[in-house]
Amino acid sequence: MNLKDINRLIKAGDVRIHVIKLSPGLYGFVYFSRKGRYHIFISEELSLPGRQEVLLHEIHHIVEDMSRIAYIFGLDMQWEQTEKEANFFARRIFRKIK
Amino acid sequence: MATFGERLRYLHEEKGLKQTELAKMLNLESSSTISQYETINRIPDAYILQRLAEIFDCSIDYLLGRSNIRNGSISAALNKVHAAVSDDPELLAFWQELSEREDLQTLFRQTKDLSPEAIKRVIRYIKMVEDEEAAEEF
Repeated sequence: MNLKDINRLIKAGDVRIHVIKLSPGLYGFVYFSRKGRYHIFISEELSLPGRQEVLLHEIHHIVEDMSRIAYIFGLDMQWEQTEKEANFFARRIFRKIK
Repeated sequence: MATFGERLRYLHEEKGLKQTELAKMLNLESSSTISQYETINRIPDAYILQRLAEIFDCSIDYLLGRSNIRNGSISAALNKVHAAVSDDPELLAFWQELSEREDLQTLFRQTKDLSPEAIKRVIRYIKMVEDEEAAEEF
């Protein structure tokens, strides 16, 4: 996945982004709605670079994890491989666009 | 809900295993046994089921298609949400319906375990999205 793919995904309109108040310790989450849209929620407490990194993290989940796993509720999975890979991806892309 | 054969096929393809490789991991003489599991929905004995659950990190109920909850960690997460919203009847009803969805998909970017209040806020946002999208139809 590269920046073009990310752009295409967002332009298709199936991804909605919400910047909202979240509790400390939660930077963001992604939810797949009944209508088939991906909703990415990002904490308003984060700086702009922080928000961008969370956005990339959640996009990685949409492309790499949610397309592959039928049922997932990933609460408290912060140490699991899925999360580590999404973090690695977000940091790699973020370094490119900075 | 999926059958055992459908679940097994999905899991082995997801893991990128060939039927021959899976047969070897289960100490089966031939991959045709795996094929029978998948195509004619033959149910294996308890030992094989246990081994499959270990290989694919899932519960036996999930393998047999009796549950959509893949493993214990998801089950624990669902219970945690249930406890967090249990004092709010409207949110609880929404959550009970939501957790039954066969295609429920939610992932979190978090740095520590969340408090019940934090979880409740997340479910409220999810409900808001669903309510808004449902209203679009009218």
